[in-house]
Amino acid sequence: MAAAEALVLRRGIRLRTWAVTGLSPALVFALVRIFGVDDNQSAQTFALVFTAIVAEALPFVLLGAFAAALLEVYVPDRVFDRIARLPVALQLPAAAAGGFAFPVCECGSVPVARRLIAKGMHPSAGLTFMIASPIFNPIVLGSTWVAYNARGLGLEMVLGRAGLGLVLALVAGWAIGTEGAHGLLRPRSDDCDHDHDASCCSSKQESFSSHLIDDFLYMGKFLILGAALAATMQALVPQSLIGGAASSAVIASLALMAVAFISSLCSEADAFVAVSFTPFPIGSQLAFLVFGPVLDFKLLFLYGATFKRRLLGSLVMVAIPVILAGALWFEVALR
Amino acid sequence: MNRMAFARLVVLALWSVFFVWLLVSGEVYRYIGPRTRWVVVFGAVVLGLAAIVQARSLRRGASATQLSKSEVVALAAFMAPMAVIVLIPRPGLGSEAASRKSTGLVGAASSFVPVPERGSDVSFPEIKYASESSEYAYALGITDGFEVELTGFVTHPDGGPEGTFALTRFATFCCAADAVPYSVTVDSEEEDYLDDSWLTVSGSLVNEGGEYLLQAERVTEIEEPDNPYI
Repeated sequence: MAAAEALVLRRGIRLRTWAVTGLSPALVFALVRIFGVDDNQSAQTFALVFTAIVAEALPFVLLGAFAAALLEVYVPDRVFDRIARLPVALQLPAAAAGGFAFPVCECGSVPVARRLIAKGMHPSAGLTFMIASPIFNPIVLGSTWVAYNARGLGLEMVLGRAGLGLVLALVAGWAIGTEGAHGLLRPRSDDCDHDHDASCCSSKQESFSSHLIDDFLYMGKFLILGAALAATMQALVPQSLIGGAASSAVIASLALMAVAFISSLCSEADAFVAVSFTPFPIGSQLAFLVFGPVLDFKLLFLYGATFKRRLLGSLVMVAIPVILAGALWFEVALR
Repeated sequence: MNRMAFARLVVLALWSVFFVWLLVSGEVYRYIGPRTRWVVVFGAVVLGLAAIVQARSLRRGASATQLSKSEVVALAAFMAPMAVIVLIPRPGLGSEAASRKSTGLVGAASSFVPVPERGSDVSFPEIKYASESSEYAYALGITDGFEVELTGFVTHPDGGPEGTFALTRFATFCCAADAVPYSVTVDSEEEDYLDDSWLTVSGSLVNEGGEYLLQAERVTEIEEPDNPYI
């Protein structure tokens, strides 16, 4: 009797859950129409920027997941074992150079770095790759050249961005990656890759697809959260707030780093935005170009999904002073 | 049934269809810049293939996994951009966004003005740079009386000359998140227009106090163009 009552109760709860799930979207839709939210300009800006960031960055996460799955399934473990035996002093510049050969922006480099570290590469080298890749790749440097060449500063800006990006990647990798993979990576259910392969996949192709889909869906949700936050900030915070910062090189650099964090732009396009900050010192524009690909709202969530929390604090502690010093030096050097 | 595999199949397939819809409907212009349109094609193809692989593994009844609540929330997050488009179809960056995206600073050293490309069309950015550099204006042949036709939306920036409005258009590079507003002040004797009205204005440029203004000769109200950016 009690079992029958419990069954009826469970069915009732399930029915109510489905009713709420089904009716909620209709209710939200009706409220949006009734209160004219869809005509509100801030809501429109949010909708446009949010969808644009996700639609543009999600394929890059997919590309990163694609490369990570290739590394996992098709590159033999002995290759990683050999790399791991190399001295760290050799692994770091090699990882930075690897960034040059992997032309994707920051959303794609995070899953690849995670896979490299999980496969045995020294964490410092994995981090160096992750930071160097979105700054130090040919597409990003090419777009920087195109944007700044129009000002006659193409070569200077490319060298400045590549140089400061490289220094930051090496310093941050060296300083943060000392903890070892277990101290750095957030554990995930699919970390036992050999078990994963054996249980779900009978061929390399299936294993590849499985890793690709796992990584894409895991990282994608965090990208969506970050994009929502970035779009909210773009819809609500006026850039004129930083207008007064343009007169001081230090404050201008910090202000443009804050803008880079809030805007969450793709590193392949950010130079076209940086070049529009004409009243700001050129060094602060370099700070914008180096800081954005390393730390922004969408990366905040991607890092949170991939690494343990302390990485974020360490990265901020290293990135801000290194970029600030580099930006000020660049400002003086160009005078 | 393997609910986890089915839910993943739905997410992958919907995203592939969403990317195809963006391309087929032309709505991709609204969100993504011309340089990065390839990522949408890449996403549509690879996610479509991933959905097929997922469907095959579902048919074979690969290891059953139940769907946890956190997994439901995570997969639902993937639906958020599509839900936003259903709720706010055809969103646009208007006068308020132009105001927010402006640093409120005007003027730049002449060394920061681009090197002009001879023979290039004169549009919003060229007029802005011509106002900042006489060398730039000279190189493009922009002088008083230079005739142009511009299409943009109406804004009324703070401190604009009396009896004028600004015609504004956003330039995008990768996606709408990096849009930068360009404005040209329009002197139209006939009437003022409401913020965000789309206009095609033809007339001639006049330099007043170092800034090129557009002296309107013909103003036509139009629908928002398919590609709202330059």
